[in-house]
Amino acid sequence: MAPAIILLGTFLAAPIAYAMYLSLTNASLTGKAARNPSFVGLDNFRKLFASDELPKSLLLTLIFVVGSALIGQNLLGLLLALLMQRRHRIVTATVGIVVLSAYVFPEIVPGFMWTSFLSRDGVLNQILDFVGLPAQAILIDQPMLGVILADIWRATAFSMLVYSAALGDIPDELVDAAEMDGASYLGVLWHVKLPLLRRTAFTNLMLITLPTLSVFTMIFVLTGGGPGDESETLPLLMYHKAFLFRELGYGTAISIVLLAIGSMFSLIYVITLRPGREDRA
Amino acid sequence: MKWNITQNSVARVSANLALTMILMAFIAPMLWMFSASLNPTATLAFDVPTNPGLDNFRRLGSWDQVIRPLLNSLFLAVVASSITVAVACLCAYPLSRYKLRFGTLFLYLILLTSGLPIIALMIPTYRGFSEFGFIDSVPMVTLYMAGTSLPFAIWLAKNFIDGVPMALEEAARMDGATTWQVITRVLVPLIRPGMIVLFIFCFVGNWGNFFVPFVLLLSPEYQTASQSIYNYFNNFGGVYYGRVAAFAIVYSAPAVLMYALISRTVGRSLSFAGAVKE
Repeated sequence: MAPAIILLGTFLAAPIAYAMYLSLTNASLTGKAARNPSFVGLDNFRKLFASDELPKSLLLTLIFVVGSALIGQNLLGLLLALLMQRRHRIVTATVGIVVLSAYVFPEIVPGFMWTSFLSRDGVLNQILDFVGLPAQAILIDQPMLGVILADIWRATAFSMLVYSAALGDIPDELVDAAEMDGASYLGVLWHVKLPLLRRTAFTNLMLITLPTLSVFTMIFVLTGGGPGDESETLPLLMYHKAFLFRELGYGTAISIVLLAIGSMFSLIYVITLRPGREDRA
Repeated sequence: MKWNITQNSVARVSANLALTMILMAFIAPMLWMFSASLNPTATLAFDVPTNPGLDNFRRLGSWDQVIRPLLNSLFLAVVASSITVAVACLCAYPLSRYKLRFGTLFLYLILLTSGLPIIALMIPTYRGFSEFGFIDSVPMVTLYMAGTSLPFAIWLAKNFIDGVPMALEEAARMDGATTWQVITRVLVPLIRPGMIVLFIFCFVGNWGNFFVPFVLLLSPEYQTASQSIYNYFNNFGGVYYGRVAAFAIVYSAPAVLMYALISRTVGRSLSFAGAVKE
C-alpha cells in the first residue's frame, strides 16, 4: 500500500493543502509577487465574495449541472435504457455504439464536432434551412444552451449504461405479473420499474453531478466562457483568473470554492454508499 | 387479446421510432468530422465531397504536429495507466483480504477523493510544479496522472478483488502453494479481466486528457495529441478543416477501439460464477 499512499499524498493531499495556503496569498503568475508572494489572509475570499463574478459564475455552474447532468444526461439516459429494453439486438447495438463513442472520444474532439455543428454554416443550420427555419447562432445568443446540449450529447452514455444494468436486474416475473394483472406499459413503468430504480437514480445522479461540475474542455473549446462571461462556469472562471489575469492566489480561492462544493456532494455520496456495508447495491 | 397485440405493435413502432430519432440526433454532430476528413477542400459545413479521397490522412505525416504528439500521448497514457493499475491492485489486495486498523477509514477517504473535482487542483499543481522545476518533466506529469486516477482505480480494484472467493486462495494454500504462487497462479489470472478493464478506463482518460498536459507540458516537443490538435484547429483550422478532421479521427480511433474491446468481455469476465461450487 505504500506506493499508493506516496502517490496520493504527493499529487492529491499536497496540492489540496497547498491550495489552501495559496488562496491566502497574493501569489501571481508573473512579476514580484510571483517569486515571493506575501500572506494576505482572507483578502482573496473577501474580494471574491464581494464580487459580481462569483454569484454569476455559481449560477451558471448550477444551470450547467442541472441542465446537463440532472435533467439532460439523467433523463435521456433513462429514456434510452427503457427504449432499448427488449429491442432487436441490431438496434440496441447500433444505438449503444453511437452513444458510447460520443462518450469515449478524447474530450477535445467533441468540442470540434460541436463547434462545427453549431457554426453559421454547420449541420444544425443546414437542417434548419432545409425545413425552412431561420438560421441560429446558438453559441453567441444562447451559449449556455449550446454547451449544455453538447455536454448532454457527450456524457449521456454513462447514465444509459447505469440504467440499462439496473433495468436488466429487475426480475421478469415482476413485470410479467403486473402485465398479467392487466397493467399497461406506462402502468408497469410507473408502479413497478421506476420505484425499483430509485436507489440507482440516486447513485447515478451523484456519479454524474461530480464530473459535470468540473467540465472544462468542452466549454473552453466551444465558447471559452463567452461571449463576455455568459458561459463562464467555475472551472473557466478559475482558469481565467489564474492564467489570463495572472492572479494565482485569487484563482486558487475560486478553486477552494469549487473544491468545497465538490467535497460536499462527494460526502453525501460516501455517507449514503457506506463502503463498510456488505449489502451495497 | 387482439387489442393487446395492436397495442404491443404500436408500442414497438413508437419505441423504434423514438430510438431512431435519438440516434439521428447523436449522429448529426459527428457527420461533419467524417465528411470533412474525406474532403480536401472542407469547410465547417457538412457536404458530400465531390472528389472524396484520403488526401487529408496522407498529409498527416507531420512529425512535429501529428506523429510526435501522438507518440507523446501514447507514452503518457500507457505508462501512467500501467502504474495506476499496478499500484491500485497492490493497495486494494490487503484492503480486500485483511481487517486493517484504518482500512474502512482509508476506503472512505478514497471514495471521497474519487469524487473531488481534480480540476480545482490544477493551479496549485501548476504552481508547485514550477517551484520544483517539474514543468515539462514528462516523468513527473506521468506520475501526476497516475496518482490522480488512483482513488477511482483503488475502489474499482477492491471491488473486483472482493469478487474472487477466498476459498480459491485457501485451496491453493492447502495444496502447498506459497504466497507468491497464490498471487501469480491464482489471483492474477482471476483478476486479469478486471485489470484490463481498469487499464482501459485509465488509458482512455489519460489519452484524451487535455487540461493536465495543457497546463504542465509547455514545450512543443512534449506536446500531446490533445494540445497539438487544439493548436492545429485554432491556427490552421480555417485553412485545413479537412486535415483537422482527419487528425481527430486518427486520434479518437484508439479510444473507441479499446472500449469496443471491453464492451464484449466486460460482462462475461467480471463474473466469477462457476469458479466455486457452493
